[in-house]
Amino acid sequence: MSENAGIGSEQVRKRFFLALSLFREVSDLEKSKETEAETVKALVKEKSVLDGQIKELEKAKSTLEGEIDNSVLSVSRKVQGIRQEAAQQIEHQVADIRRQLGDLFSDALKAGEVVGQMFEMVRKGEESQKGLETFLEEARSRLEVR
Amino acid sequence: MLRNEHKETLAKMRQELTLIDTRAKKISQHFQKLTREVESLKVESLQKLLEKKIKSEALRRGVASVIRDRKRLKSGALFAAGNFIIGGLLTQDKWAALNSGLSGLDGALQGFGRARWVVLLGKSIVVAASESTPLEGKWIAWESLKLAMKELRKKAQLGEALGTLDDVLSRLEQKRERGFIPIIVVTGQPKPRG
Repeated sequence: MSENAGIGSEQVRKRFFLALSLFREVSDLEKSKETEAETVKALVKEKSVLDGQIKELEKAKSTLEGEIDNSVLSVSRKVQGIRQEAAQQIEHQVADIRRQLGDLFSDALKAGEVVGQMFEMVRKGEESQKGLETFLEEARSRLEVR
Repeated sequence: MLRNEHKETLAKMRQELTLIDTRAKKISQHFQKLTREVESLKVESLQKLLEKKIKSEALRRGVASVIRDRKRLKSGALFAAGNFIIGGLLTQDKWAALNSGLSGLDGALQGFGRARWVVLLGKSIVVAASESTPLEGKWIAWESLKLAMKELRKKAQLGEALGTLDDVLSRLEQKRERGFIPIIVVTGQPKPRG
């Protein structure tokens, strides 16, 4: 038949081997395709696992963020409380010092009054002394015998 | 810390104020006492001046009396005074003789010049013996005036301000007018002393 068609047996053999090799390649490709498919399948699976992990991490992240927010709020409240307490303490101290200063000023005024009275007494004493001198001089000059 | 420092400062200031207050009060009290004493001294010094004047006048009158009446030299008091001098000289104690003798003589002469003394309080403060000198005006008996001055001195010691000499004389006059002091009213012409 081959010979009828003008094709030699050698050529037929070559064509046969070529076809065979092609077949092998196709088979290899098929195999490779399967392997790739499995790899893709594995990767898809791995991706879905990772997706799940990411979701869990995101959840953990939001939990952490919530906790951090709560913590910050708590600290902020505490700081505010401490600040208010300190402010109140300072306010009390200032009020106390102001009251004591008021008392002191009142005492100072009283002491000033006493000192003023003392100066007045000193002035009277000096006047009295001068008065005595004048009194004696005048009495001596006006005294006579009849 | 700051509060403690404030407290300490305030306590120190308070202590100083208390100290100032106490000292000022004490000084005031001292001056008050001094002023009262000075006021009292006015009356006391006036009394001393009058007493001195009366003594001096009594002495003058005593001497005049002895000169007029030499017999008085032999009288007891003056004789005793003379003996003091002689006694002192005999014991070589001239100083004692002089002092005791003179004081005795002084006392004796004042005794001769003794009188009922009266005082006129006015522009001039005049001391006179009531029985020997013709007087005019409202004279106050010396003994009564002494009582009035004692009373005024007590008032001064209690803190009353007596004022000037005229004020003091006026107050003594007021006592006289209120009948606290017996007065001697003598009419007639004042006789100048010779």
